Amino acid sequence: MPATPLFLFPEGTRGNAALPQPFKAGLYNLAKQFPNVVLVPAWIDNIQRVMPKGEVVPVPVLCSVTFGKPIALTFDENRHDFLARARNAVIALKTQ
Amino acid sequence: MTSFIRALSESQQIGLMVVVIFGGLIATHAVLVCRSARYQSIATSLRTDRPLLKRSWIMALVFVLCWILGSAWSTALFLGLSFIALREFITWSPTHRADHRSLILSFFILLPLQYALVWWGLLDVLTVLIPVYAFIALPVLGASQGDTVRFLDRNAKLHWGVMVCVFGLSHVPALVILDFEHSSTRSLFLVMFLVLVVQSCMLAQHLAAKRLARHTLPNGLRVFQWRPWLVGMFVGGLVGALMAGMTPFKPGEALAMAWIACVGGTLGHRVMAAIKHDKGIQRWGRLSGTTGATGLLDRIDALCFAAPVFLHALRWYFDV
Repeated sequence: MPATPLFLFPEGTRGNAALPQPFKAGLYNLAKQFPNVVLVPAWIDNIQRVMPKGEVVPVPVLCSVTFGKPIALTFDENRHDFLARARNAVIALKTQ
Repeated sequence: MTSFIRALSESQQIGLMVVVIFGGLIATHAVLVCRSARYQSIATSLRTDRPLLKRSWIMALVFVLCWILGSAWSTALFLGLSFIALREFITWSPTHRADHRSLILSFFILLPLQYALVWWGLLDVLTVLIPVYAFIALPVLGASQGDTVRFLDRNAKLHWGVMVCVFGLSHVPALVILDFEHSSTRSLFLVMFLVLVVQSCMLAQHLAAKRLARHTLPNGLRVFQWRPWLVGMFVGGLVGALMAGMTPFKPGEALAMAWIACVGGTLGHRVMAAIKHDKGIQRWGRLSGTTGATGLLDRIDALCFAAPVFLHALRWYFDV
């Protein structure tokens, strides 16, 4: 079966702060259950400006997606540490 | 030359323009390709100039096609250009969540309304809509949202972007509205005149600056260089004077008008370069081509500044 990319938004919702909210446990559970899946952090720049939470009409500003180096769950890592590390890996890709 | 062009019929003049523009492009392309086979230095410069050449082809094809199809298509073309340019500008001007309504007003109300005014021929309204009414409406809408962090900063940038990308650029198709007594159907040639003069001036300046030595200020912004600027002014003026026969101008007037447009354009380009430098970017838009916005504003920013200056110079001098 060919590999299919799956996009996860581990925040579980849209926020309105500059940085993403703490990640939900789903990402950790998936990483634990499917250790052979490659987890690639990605940052979507400007997406918040296109349509902030609560607005109806999108604004056509340009967005860009930056992909980082894959991260994997290490055997001795607990849920909290892994989610924090994943979040930092995403934030590290933020442009400027 | 002038009297020869003036004696031609309108469709002959259109044909002449097409032949000259595309003949010039084909000749440039052919000369570069032939010489690159012989000289290594030209082959290298052709590789770096290739995007410039390709862009020139695309821009010329789209513009000439819309120009031939008439004022409705020209207006629609500049509407599209304004939209892309404003996207590129706003993308690099950070706005807050509270500015969302102001952005919607800019993109979906002010921009189409401005071009509708061009289409309806309401010159007196279109010259005040953005400098007067949007100047009030945008910050009022922003203030009503309650977020006052860097308020002036955000609103000034937004209004500035709309001024350059919508107000400035809409003055190019607005030239069609001008009604010259002795040649009322000539106004579309003014659009061609302005675009050709300003773009050839910018191209000449750009190429001259590449050939001549570069000096940069300690902070990295390129020093204003007189020689490339004079080359640009010379080429722009020459193109303007040669086109006099298609416009309502005498050759001397055409030269003066071309220079007014070139001064506005080159200095405006300089201003935009300063803004880009402040933001730490080489060009507007994103580097990827998927969004269709890969630095269009860099190509047309001179027009955004030249067009209002040119249009108002015409209105005062010719009293139209």
